[in-house]
Amino acid sequence: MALLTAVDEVAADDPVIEQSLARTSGVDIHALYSAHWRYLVRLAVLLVDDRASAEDVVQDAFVALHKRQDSLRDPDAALAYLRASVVNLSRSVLRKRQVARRHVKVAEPEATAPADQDVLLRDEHRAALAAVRALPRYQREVLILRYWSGLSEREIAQTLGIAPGSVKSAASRGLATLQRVLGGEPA
Amino acid sequence: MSDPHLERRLGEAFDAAARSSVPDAASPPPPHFMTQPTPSRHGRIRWIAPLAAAAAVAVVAGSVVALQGNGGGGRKGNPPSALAAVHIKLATTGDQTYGVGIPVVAYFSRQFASAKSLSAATSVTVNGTAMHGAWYFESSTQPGYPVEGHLRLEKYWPANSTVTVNVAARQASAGGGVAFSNDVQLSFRTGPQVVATVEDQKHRMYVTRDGKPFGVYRVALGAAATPTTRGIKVIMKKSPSVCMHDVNGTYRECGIKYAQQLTYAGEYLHAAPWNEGNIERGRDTAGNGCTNLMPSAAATLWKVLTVGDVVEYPDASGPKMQVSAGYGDWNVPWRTWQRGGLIPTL
Repeated sequence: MALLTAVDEVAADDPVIEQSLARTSGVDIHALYSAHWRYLVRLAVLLVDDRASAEDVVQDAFVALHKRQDSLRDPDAALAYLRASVVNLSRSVLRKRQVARRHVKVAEPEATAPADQDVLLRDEHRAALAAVRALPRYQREVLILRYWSGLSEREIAQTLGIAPGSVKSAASRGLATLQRVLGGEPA
Repeated sequence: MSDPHLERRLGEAFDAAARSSVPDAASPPPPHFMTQPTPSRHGRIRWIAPLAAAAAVAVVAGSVVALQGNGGGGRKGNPPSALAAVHIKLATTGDQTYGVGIPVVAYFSRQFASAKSLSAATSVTVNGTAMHGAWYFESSTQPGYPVEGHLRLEKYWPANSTVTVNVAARQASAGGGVAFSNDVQLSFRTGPQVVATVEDQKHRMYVTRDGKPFGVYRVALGAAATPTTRGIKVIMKKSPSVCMHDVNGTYRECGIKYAQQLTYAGEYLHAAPWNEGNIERGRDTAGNGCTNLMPSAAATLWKVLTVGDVVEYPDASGPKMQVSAGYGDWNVPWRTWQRGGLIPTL
């Protein structure tokens, strides 16, 4: 059975396609929404740890895209824009949460609250996620985009607005910390 | 320096966390941007075919349905189905040229008991001559519009013609004391009669235009695990290039060119430069039931085929295509069609 959904993207350098672009130009935000909603909420969940905030983040990202729909003609660029929005909005969720926590309580037993879903996960996954959660922001984001989203260094650099070299070093520092925390198991 | 074991463990942990928080079955709520003013220059949003059964998005030819209740929070939409009249929403865009297999598609805002007076209120002309068209209904996944109706003639539309559809249903009975709330009209043209026949055994696609042979192209269809469905399909949408992904979000591939959509679930005709060897050798290895074409053939077919053109798969190895899997209209015998399906028309 067919299991694919698809989203238009516009390839610019093709004469056959160029001819038909008059009819098909523009970003189809509804198609993007139905095709990428789950992927983006999952990405946001990894960044903010709870589904309700993750869904809000994704809604806000689409509202932002909707506002500048006309300036984005290329759906691939639109997805990149959504991804970057999700990362940015997730950061501000975490920032707000930290501020709130500072006001409520001085001493938390843990540096960050574990995701409620973690109880359903296997121990080795739970340990890995906790270790990632304790990493500095950029390192966490890079590892999630690298090993879950499967983005290239260049794409991660674009998403985070940093140099590809910084992506490389954030990844290797993050991995080194995890290696230390989780203990090197023989491959 | 990188440790493949650690990298794999990370990937698996992320994946497990993502899936346990957002299961595969999770479907998107009505988008918040639907309640925002549309910034488009034309004040219109283009209609798109729903891309998956899970797509909780209702947009039709220039009209946006307000899905949110009182803004914010609400997960469940507040569709117009609360009204005691059946609203008809035309999904087919007018003033365009379509292939001869195009169905006229409309959505209905609530279930209703009888389409008898709707049929009586519907008139179809081809080049000014009245023709007998009939409605056929199925349930729909469009929020607020639980019924989808398709209107067609017994045979494909005549080629190179002008078609008008007039549904003067306002205040006509929908059965059970309920009436239709509005009229709809549509006018479109048909192009040449282009029929593509994909023969799985021969691994060839034969294309005729207005009855004359136009070309023969090598194809590779879906692999055994993901076979291509059998039956008569219609091109629903053309995309110069698409990103495809499976329902689990585990597979993603972008830059798939000359994509012409045949089913909601995602069977396409498309260029498959990575699969040239198998197309040449006539092996069905394409993932996900798509019809893989050599890039040059895909480019030619992109130019020749339009939305509404017919693509027949008489001997594909998959199950028979369901009507609602796409524009599966032509797989229903005319006798059955005339009875109306979900809602009786007689």
